[in-house]
Formats: sequence, structure tokens, C-alpha cells
Amino acid sequence: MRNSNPITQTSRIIVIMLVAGSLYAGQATVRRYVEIYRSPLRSDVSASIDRHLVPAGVTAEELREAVERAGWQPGDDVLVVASERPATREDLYQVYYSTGYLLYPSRVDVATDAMPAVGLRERRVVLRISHLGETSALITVNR
Amino acid sequence: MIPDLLRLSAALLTLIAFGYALTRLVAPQIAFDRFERFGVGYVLGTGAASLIWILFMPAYGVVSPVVLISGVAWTTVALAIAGRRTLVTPPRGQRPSLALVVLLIVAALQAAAVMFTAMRSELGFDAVFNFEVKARLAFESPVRGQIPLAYFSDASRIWSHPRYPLVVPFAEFWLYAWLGRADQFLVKIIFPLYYIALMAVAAGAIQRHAGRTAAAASIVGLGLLPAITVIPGAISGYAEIPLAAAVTAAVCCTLIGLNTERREAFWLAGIFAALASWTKVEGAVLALCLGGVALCVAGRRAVPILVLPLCVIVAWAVFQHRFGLAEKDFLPITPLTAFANLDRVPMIARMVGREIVTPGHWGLLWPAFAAACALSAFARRWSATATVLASLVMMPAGVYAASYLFSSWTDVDGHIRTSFVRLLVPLAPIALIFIASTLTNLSGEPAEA
Repeated sequence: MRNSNPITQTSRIIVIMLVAGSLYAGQATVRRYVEIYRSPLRSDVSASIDRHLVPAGVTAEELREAVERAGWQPGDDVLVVASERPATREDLYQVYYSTGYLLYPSRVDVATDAMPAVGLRERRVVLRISHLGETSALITVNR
Repeated sequence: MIPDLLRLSAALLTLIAFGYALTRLVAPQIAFDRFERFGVGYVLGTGAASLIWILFMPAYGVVSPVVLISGVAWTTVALAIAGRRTLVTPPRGQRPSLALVVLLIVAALQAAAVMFTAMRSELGFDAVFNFEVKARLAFESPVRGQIPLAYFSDASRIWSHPRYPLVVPFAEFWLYAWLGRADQFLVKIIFPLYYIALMAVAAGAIQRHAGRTAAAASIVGLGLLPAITVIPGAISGYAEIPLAAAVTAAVCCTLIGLNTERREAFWLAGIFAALASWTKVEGAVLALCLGGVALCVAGRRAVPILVLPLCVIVAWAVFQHRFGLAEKDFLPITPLTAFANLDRVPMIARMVGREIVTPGHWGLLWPAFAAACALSAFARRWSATATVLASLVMMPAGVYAASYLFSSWTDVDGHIRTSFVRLLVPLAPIALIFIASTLTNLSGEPAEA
């Protein structure tokens, strides 16, 4: 008698939906956990920002050291330039954001060889990124 | 490594103790259980400390932020202890059933898995470029602890969203300040703790309405959803889980206020709603929706739920107006813009609809929520609790969908694809609380002790 109650039956269906749906979605969670478990552990202090600098072939520490060696002043405008055939747009912007992240308070802009940046007072510094794997990255001072 | 762990423990303990003491001072009569009290304490302590951080920013040339904030926190703890106000604890329930024990073990394993994978993975893209960047700026600033004012109007860094509120950057800065270095490995500990806090407050709310087994089953279900655990979930370093924890705590206190008529519960709910609006921009939408609904249901007693978040929202808006840059992701919100973009409606509806029925992200949570709403309406059993919970899912979801009419992205479907899943994260625990309380209510059986 109780089973024929539509409210009870619908309630059960809702519970079944929740359980089945959670188990289905849980597979994706577990799969991702396993992927992460199998990937190498990166426990260094700049692990996350270094990953975004991979297309430029430098680490955060190397970039900051290069900037220091080159005698760039805090506040110098920085231009991230990609070669004519850059890596993906995503890679370019990843490096651009990372440079802006690391070189505060310098103003950072981005450009490709074919499309120069606008809005900078003076191009004092160029971080040139080339296609990942083709040539190594160049960090040069353009004065 | 051991000195690092000691510093990390001291930093986190200060936040949790601060939150615990604030709860004890503001609302000693609310019966939170121990697990829930940890969740409430962590969210409240971190959020309140971040507000102190921003308010005292001009003073950091004279006194270190760690000293100042720790001083305020431990003084509050001392006051709470000296106040000798006895905490109300919920009555002990019956012996746990085997099912409950199994579910609790699974939930504990899930929390351990979140902690483990969070520490093994890197911070996500937005976690670094929207949140952690601000923590690093504050840490590396010539006056440690101050985010340079020029940053908020730096057009070359608009990609880092200087308008975003600052709870998560504060939590990260706090750990950096204690550790003495910016450390993108150890800082990830913050997010699994927010996950545990979210589970604690969600379980507490469900337990009060549907019993312990339903609460444990619900948090196990939540812990299986990739949107809660992976991206944009707890291991990514995004602000969605901290926001979900703050909003769920606000809802939990609102429901306690509705059911016990205790004014202090509404005050605490208001504080959490304010912290939600200080965690992410959409937290303001959630806080205002909660405040509006609570005001309709509970009357003037619920005024703090609207007023406290408004204080934070208005103060931050004034600051941004004075020192910040214009919003870049959205066009001016005017009827004219909405009419001009009406042709987007079918696309928005299609993409939103697709997201809420994507089982790989959400299981069948949203269809189950819709079914529970329909069932509740069919049975004509809408309680005040159900009204608050259902409104707090449907109203913000509607606002979020409508907001894409004002998107300035040329690729609007890309905007929806990358953001809508995140907007649903804080709504998921509320939907689950609604389903659990509705089904218990309709079954006619009292919630187990």
C-alpha cells in the first residue's frame, strides 16, 4: 500500500538518481586522482608558476635572475614577444601573465613579431619566446 | 621541514581559534557539533582576519601584519575564554548504525584523498593569476602585507582581476608571512581545509533536518562530484570552495534562526553572508539573495543578513570606484544592453541547460533538485526552510544565466563554458540540503537523532 504512494515512489526515484549520478560522476574524480597520483610530485616553492613558464623555457627563478643580471630597473616596461610562428595563443598569454606576475611593478605587455604592442612608453625590455622545442628562449635587453 | 610545519600549524591554528572564539562570543547558544564548529571556525576566522588585514593595511609600516592580526585573534580568544559563556552542544544521538559508520569512513577517506591530491597537484591557472598573485604582491611589497595601491589601477595587470575580493589572497599571504617565503607547495593546504569546512557545515545543516545518515550520505555524494573536488573544486586553489563554505555556513545559520527564532543566529548568518561577498564577486549575489529571501520569510529579525554583506559590498565598490579599473568582462548593465543582446538567449539557455544535465560534472544533482521542487509543490508542503533553500538556488542561477546578456566577451559561449560550472559550485551543497530536508519532510518521519 505504502509503495503505491506517488510521493514515496518519487522520493525513492530522487534518491536513486542522486546515488547513481554521484557514482557516475565519481568515476571522473577517481580517474583524475589517479592521474595526479601517477604524475611526478613537484614540491618546490615556485612549482605552479614554473609550469606556466614552460613555453618560454625558463623558470621563475631564472627569469628573475636574468632580469637582475641585465640591470633592468623596477618599473621598466617589459614586452613579451613571440616569434612569427609562436606557440599557441594560450602559451603566449601564459608566459605574458607569468612575466607580469613575476616582474611587478614593471608594466608588461605582449606582442608577436607581426603584431607589435601598443601603449608602452618605450620598449626597454624584451622577453622573446619561441616555439616550444624549436629554439631555446632568449631573454635580451633591448635598449 | 619541521619548523615549516610548526609555522604552518601556528598560522592555521590562529585562524581556527579566532573563528571559534568569534562564534563563541557572537552566538554561544547555537548548538553546533564539534565537526561543524571546526568548519564554522575556519571559515569565520579566515574571513574575519582578512577583513582586519585590509582595514589595518596602512599600519603595516609600523607593525607587522602577523603580529597585529595574531594579537587581535588571540585577544579575542582570551575574551571568549574569560567570558565563560557555556557553549550549547547538541544532545548525543543514538549509537551510530553500521551504515553511518561506513559512510563516515568513506567521507574521511575522501577528505584524505582531497588533501593528498591537492598537495601533489599544482595550483590551477586562475588560482595563480587571480588569487595567489595578490598574496605574492602583498608578501613581496616593500611594506610587507600591503598590496600596492597602484596595482588596483594597473591596466597592464587587468588580467589578474584586481576587482576580485580578497579572502583567498589573504589566506595565502597569511601562510607566506608565517613561513617567511612565498611557497606555492605548502599554500595549497588552505583549500582541502576549506573542503573539510564545507563538508562540516553542510553535514551539520543536513543532520538537523534529515538526520545523521542522510548527512553522511550527502557529503559522500558531494565528495564524488568532480566540480567540487577537482576543477574548479578543492584541489585547484580556486575560490569556489571557500565561497561555497561561507555561503553554506550562512544558510545553515539562517535555517537555525528560522527554526529557533534566535536573533544571534541571524547575526552569525549575516557575518557569513558578508564573508561570502568578500570571497568572490558572485558571493555578493548569493548574499543579497539570501538576505532578501530571509527578510521575506523571517521579517525584521533577518535584517543583519542583508545589512552586513551590504556594508562589505558598498565599501569594496567605493574603493574600486576610487582606485580601481572598470570591469572588463561585462558591458554596462542597462536595459538597452539587455535588449541589444536578446538574441543570445537561446544560446545561453542551451549551454546552461547542457551544464546542469552533464552527469560527468554534477551527477544527477540538478535534475534531482528539480524533481524535489516539483514533488514539494505537488504535495503542497513548502516550509520556510524549503523556501529559503530553493530560492537560494534558483534566484542566483537565474541571475547568473541572465548576466551573460551583458558579457563583453566576443566568444560568449566560451565565457559560459568556462564560468557557469564554477557558479554552480556554491549552489550544490544548498541544493543537497534542500533535497534532504524535503524528502525527510515528505516522508513524514522525524529526522533521526
